[in-house]
Amino acid sequence: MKILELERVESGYGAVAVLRQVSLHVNVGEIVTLIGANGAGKSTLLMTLFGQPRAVGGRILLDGVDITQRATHQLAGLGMALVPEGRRIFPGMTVAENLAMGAVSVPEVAAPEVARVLERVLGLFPILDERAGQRAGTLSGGEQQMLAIGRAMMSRPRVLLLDEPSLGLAPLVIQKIFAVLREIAAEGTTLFLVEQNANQALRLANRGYVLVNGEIRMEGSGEALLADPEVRRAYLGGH
Amino acid sequence: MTGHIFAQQAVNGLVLGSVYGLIAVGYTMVYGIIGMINFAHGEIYMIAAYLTAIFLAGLTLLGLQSPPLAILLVLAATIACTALYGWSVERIAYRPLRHANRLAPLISAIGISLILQNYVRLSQGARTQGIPSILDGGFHLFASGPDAFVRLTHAQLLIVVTAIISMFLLHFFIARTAMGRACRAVQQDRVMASLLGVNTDRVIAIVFVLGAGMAAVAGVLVTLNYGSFDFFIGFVAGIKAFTAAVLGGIGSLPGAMLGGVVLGLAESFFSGFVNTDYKDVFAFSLLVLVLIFKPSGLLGVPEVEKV
Repeated sequence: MKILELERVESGYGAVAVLRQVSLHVNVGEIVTLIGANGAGKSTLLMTLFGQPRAVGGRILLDGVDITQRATHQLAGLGMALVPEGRRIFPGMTVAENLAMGAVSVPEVAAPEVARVLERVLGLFPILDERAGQRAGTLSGGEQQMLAIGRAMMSRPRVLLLDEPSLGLAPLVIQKIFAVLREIAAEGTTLFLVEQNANQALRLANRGYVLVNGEIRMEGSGEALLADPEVRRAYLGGH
Repeated sequence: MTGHIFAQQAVNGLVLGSVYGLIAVGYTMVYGIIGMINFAHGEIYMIAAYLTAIFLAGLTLLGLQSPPLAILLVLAATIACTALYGWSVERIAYRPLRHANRLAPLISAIGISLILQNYVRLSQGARTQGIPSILDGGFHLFASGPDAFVRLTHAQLLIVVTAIISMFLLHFFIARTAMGRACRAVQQDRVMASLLGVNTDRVIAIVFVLGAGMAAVAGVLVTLNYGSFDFFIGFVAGIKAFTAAVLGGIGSLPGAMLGGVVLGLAESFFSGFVNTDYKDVFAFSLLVLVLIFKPSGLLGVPEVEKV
């Protein structure tokens, strides 16, 4: 069953078209990755799902329902959460407040559930518990990434979208973050992972898409793409 | 003797500064959240002055005798009406232009400011209006002779105390409530806040309403203290409060209050010891100096952000 589906989506900034007729889908419980070079339109694709910028053509379906024209702030409540490019944590707020912001889309009645999710997030990232009262802007890059992932989890998303969670981090931290992503996926959350770090992403993913100049150029299982000579040459530094 | 004059000017400056601070909060909050100066903010203060007179007259007609109760009712009614004005200004002048060129909302706000001024002039008359004083009397502090004392009127005391309470309530709202947290989130990263599910249009409207409410408190207090007003008082008060906001560091709530108090004290001491005519020159020179040596204002801190 498809949880997220894009049908010939077109998007861009003003006159600049970035995405051209992008069609892809993510099934419930899957880990799907989108790889592509810098400037291919990966981040634009994720932001377009949230209407920032809004798609100018095609349709975006969540659980089969057309959400293309939905207001940005209504989407978190429908079960999508984004860990955006550059983390975009709130630097002037404490770690605890950042996590609380992740749950704003959860209705008041679910407060006990929020407390349980918070406990789960702090269990996955104990460092966030230690730093709970600290201003988020003072965290290291890896800690900020963990905070961004934790914040996204606070709304109990059914599909978690991640934009280059490994960017600029030390290999050890990347491993830790990917281990947590595996755990989140194992609990039943669907993952849609955008990465330049194609090797790591394709190893984690069930399926993958390759985005080139705003168009889907290839798709296949994680192993198939890993083995593909063209993918190896362009994204994995192979020969 | 000089000591008494000094203390008296300090009292006067503190009172003036409280008023500037209350209005400055509106400028600083709106700037913090949408990065723009709300040029119609001074008019909100002016309208609050007129509403104070109207509600006070209404209560007197109804036969209300007790001044404390009257003040409380007038304050509540004025804040409620003025909040509606603040909401409307945002809805009419700012929201439709949210994604327009940065200059467009600025110009529409100046337009709203002119409309409000002239709407009051047409409906209330261009003459200076007044209300009878309902808060007489005061205290003589540090009295050591017939001419040697510091006078603190009841109205002045009311201004300072109400300003402090209002600031405390506002600070509590911003720092401690979920809605206040959403306001800070929108201020720090509007798109991210909306991705998480914050209705940013609603948050921006609330900030305008809060700013208008604080300006309303200032309008009521000043009217009770001075008793006279006209349709143009919003302009000068607005410029002074804007100066206070920039002086304290625009975008910072404590900065707005501090900036107001510093500006009020500076004006008051300069009037008392040097020259009344040039007090504004002195106030604005102070602003220029602060901006030269600390461009972010007294409490404005450039945001620390790791990338």
